[in-house]
Amino acid sequence: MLGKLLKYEIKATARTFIPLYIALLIFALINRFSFANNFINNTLSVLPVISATVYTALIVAIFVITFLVMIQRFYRNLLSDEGYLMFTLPVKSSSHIWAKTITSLLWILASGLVTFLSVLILAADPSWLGSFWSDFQQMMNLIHLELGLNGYLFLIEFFLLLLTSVWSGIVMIYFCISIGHRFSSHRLLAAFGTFLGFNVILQLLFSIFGHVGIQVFHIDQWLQNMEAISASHTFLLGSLLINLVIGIFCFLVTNNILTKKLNLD
Amino acid sequence: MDTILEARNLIKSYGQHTALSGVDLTLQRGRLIGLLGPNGSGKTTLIKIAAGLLTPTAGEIMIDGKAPGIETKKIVSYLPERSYLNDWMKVADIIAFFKDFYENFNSDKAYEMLKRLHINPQDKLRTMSKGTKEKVQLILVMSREADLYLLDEPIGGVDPAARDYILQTIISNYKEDASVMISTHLIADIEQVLDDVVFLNYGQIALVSSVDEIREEKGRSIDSLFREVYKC
Repeated sequence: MLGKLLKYEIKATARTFIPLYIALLIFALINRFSFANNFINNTLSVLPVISATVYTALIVAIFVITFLVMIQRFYRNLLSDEGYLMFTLPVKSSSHIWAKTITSLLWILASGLVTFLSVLILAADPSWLGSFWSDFQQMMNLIHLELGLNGYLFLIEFFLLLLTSVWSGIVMIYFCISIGHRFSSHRLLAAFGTFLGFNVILQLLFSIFGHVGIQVFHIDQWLQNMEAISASHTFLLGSLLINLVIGIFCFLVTNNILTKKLNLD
Repeated sequence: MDTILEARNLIKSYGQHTALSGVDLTLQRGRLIGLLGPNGSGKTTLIKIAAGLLTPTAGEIMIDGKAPGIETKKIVSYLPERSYLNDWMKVADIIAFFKDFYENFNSDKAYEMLKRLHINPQDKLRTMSKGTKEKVQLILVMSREADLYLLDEPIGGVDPAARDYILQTIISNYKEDASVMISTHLIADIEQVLDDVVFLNYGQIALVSSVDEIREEKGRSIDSLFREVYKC
């Protein structure tokens, strides 16, 4: 059932994103030519300014819309009128949450990727693109030679950290919306309050754990005695673990609300 | 099992306000039941709890012996009193959606009914009037071969001509051992087709009876009984 939900979720959101992506790539192309072409610069200097402005505005729009759609799909499709259909489907609540989360994650990654691609279109030298992979390998080798660490491993760890932090961020927002929905009025305010409160509690927990870790378990000395490379691995993996714990907590609470305390009005 | 729905001491309150205060109700299979009551008597709340959209404050409700969940949603076909369709899909898309998620959905039946009501499957829901959307929703709900249909005000928003066709659709589209519960306050329109009636008042059951009983014993129509029970 998750597969079917994903199919419809992606279909429902693609209508918003695909045109924006196409527009961004087209404007990147236009800008490339208007920058390269002195003729246009000299005679019609207002056009490049306009197209550059549109390009920048599109990038901003894509990221704002990615964020808004993430919230709107969860709230509107599950907790407003459309929820009357979604929650009478013979589907587990957890599948609904996963379908929304995976789709949001997908669009966040796609938005990043398309923006990167548009920068390449705008600025990249084709000859530079040809040697991209060998340059990259050379860089990794240099890192290994100079710093003695495995660049690929770090990249993978860094990507996993990015993935888990985006994932836990998404579920945290769903968690806040679900808590907000438990209130009979001022739900937006309640969701926002939940977000603030939850983050204050997290900060508090971090400082308490940090304090206990240093005072009782002497984590600071342990880290200092460690080699720089293993210390940075530990740091990356530790952050990854914290993201996972926060994400799992938010997921479980959201799932519990949608399964056992659902009240659509 | 002959019982399709059973509620025991079902209570639902929203803060201070109590929508259902201790409802006990047993519905049998193979019946067409009218859930009648004035506005705010708890009809929609009862139906939404049965559909799994509301969590009861206390008490329990069983559908085919199970609490509302995935298994009951497979056999319950629910028509809400509002539009739950997104507006960017075509009618054909939403039929494919239902087909995808409900094993008991019959697309042929849906297309046949659309044809009868002159609704183009290629039309977008956005371009449709409120009444047409309601018809589409009812078609979707009645195209499922469900065990229990919960219809919340199915005829409220459509014109009287379509009303007859829709009622006819409801009557002729459920299998023998299925039950249909229709909530409405347009009693005169549906009283001819009902087997049983349930009267709700202030969140409590005021009367449960078969229509024949009321006609034979009290010698009157449901409409006039309703007017007496709920006299203001």
